[in-house]
Amino acid sequence: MSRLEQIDSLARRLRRMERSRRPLEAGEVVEGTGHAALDSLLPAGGLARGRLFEWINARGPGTGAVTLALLAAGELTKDGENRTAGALAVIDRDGGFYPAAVAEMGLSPKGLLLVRPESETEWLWAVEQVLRSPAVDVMLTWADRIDDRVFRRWQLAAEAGGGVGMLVRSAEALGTPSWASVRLLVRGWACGDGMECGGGSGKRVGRRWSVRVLRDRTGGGGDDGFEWLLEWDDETGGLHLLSRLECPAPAGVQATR
Amino acid sequence: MPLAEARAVLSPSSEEESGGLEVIEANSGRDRESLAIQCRCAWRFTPRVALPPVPGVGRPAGSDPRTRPESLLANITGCGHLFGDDHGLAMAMQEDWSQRGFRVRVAVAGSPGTAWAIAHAAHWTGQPAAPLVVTPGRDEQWMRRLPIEALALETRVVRTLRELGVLRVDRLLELPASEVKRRFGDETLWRIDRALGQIDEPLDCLPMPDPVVAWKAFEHPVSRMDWLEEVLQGLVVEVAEGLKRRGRVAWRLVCRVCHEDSEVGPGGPGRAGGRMEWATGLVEPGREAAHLWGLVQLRMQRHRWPRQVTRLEVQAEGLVVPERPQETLFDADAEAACQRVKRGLVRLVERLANRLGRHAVAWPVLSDDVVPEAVVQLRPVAGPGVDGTSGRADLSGPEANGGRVGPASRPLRLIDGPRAIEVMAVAPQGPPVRFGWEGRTCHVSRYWGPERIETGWWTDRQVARDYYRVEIDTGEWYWVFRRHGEEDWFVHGVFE
Repeated sequence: MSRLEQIDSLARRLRRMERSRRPLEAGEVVEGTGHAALDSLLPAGGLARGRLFEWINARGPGTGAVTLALLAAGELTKDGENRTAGALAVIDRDGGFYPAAVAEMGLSPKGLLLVRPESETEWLWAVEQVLRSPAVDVMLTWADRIDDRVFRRWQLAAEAGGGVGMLVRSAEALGTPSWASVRLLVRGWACGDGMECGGGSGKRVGRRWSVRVLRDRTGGGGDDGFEWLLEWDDETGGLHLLSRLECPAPAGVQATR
Repeated sequence: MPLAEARAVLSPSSEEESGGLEVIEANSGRDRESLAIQCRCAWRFTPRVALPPVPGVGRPAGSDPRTRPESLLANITGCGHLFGDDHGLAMAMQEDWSQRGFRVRVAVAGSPGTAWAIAHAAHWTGQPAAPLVVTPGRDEQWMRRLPIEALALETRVVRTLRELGVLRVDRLLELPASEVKRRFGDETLWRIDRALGQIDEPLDCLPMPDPVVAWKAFEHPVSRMDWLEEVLQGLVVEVAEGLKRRGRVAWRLVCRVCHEDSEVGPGGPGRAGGRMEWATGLVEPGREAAHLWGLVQLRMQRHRWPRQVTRLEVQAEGLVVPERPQETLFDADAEAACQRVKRGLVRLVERLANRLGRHAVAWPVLSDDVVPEAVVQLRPVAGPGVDGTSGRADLSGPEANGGRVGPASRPLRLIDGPRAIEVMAVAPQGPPVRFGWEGRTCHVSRYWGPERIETGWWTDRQVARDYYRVEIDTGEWYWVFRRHGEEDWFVHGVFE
């Protein structure tokens, strides 16, 4: 290889390494989530293919970040006019994922692939394989601690596969480096948070979250200081935007798992 | 006829104590061996001949008439014209065995289940045992006329149905499936579907006498992994070429390693007497060398390789004729894209199943059981190639549950074994107001329920629980329940 070719090769590698830090390119596909509220919240106006998205539970796992991630992925799991939907792969190390809830969320349960690796090594391998597969549109996994190099491999695998990777993480991940394109902090919003809602055994089931975009590499921005208050309506199954609040710092974050 | 009855009929004479009755103990193993010999005779009609499925493999244990070693299953697709038509082939088969002194019944139908039922119909109905060819598409019509024994149900189920006056298949099919399931279980529904050909039942055909195999023996024992891998790759390529020459695809590759390593001895699965063996399975049969080698490599990672290897062997098993995808007249691009996605998924599943194990990859299927722990059934994705059983991966995925309560009625994480919680205060006729969970006190701000989940006393698992969805002051949601008539509370799920 000549020196010029070597320089060209290194430049190409450098461009590729920096790609995740750069805004969306012209050819990149952004898929709508099917929920206008989520589309307006997500920096690129939807889910950019070939990217990783971090959903961070501000409190315990019952906060609902997985629910939001699956609601966002719903549209990707449906057959379109000119495309066949790939699989929704859930990689669950704990073995407690309950698919009965998936059908209720408006997701097409066809093609839900459940992978249950037994060890951490197998889990890391399985996530990379699934992300690299063009037959999988959405990959969901729980990833509290990820090695920086592994994270980078996953990001490259997602780029190669062209699907969307959803990583659900606890608040412990907030201080760690990330190769995800978008990092979202999800906080459950209970009745006692000053919002008006039905008390006692209220008939309405509307579930509320406040979501904050902590990091955005698709648009080049970071935390804009706004929290989006969303409600999942039990009657329509839709996700509505209730308000957009300005908050100086993420509140109510507690690292529990 | 029971043996005692036979002895009574043939009353013992003074000369012969047994009354001329020769008693031979049943031996199903020997019967299967004899049947396997008969397969050789069937190969002149079709190369795809299989023995009955082995009892208990891939299905719950239970008396299954289909597993009795008394039938041969043959796929005669594309062979009929060699004998004029399918009827000519069936006649030739019957004549062939009759000449060798066997009494046989031949039936040709669209699925193994229907063919088995019609071949046995003469036994139940007393019809003449002439070969019978069912017109394509009329399998179910034929089945409806047969007695319920034709469905190969369990003996106790047949007995109960007869007591209820359900004697023919059409009467049974008129009953709601949910009632049949509740009364007789999932297994019965599965057997009905199997008999009607609604379940794809691939035949695990016996290998032809000339197997597709490649091997390499070393003059001196070899321990270097890179050498062994290179040789093994060459053998896989050789087998793939053999399959191509023969016009076949394989469900699995079996790798055999002979060694002189004393550390890897008997005790492990497939390791005994200096020989180690493992099978690499496929979800769809194939013969592409690069893909097969990739899978063999993944499977190798699950085994500790012995040192001092003296011989390597690779054999293709489960050989079948490759299916040609149906061509479409319209929207060929969309069809091609659909096939691409499906093929990609099959490849991914094959990789995952071979590296992580068959149990680790599954398609969830939702049943209409009310007990939360039993609602989801995991269907292994692997086909005959992975474990040698006859269950094809169903890529259609899970079926939607019709009895949904509403959005967010079920948690995304179900705790395996509900966890007891300490409750500080309880709402009147309601759920806990304050409870301890993972070292902290949770204050309930909203709740929904109760939703009573109760099963009948006659079922195996009796459950009577009042479930509540509770939202605590930090916005987290949990699924809690109390057993009917008891005071203890449990967390059963987390709305992640």
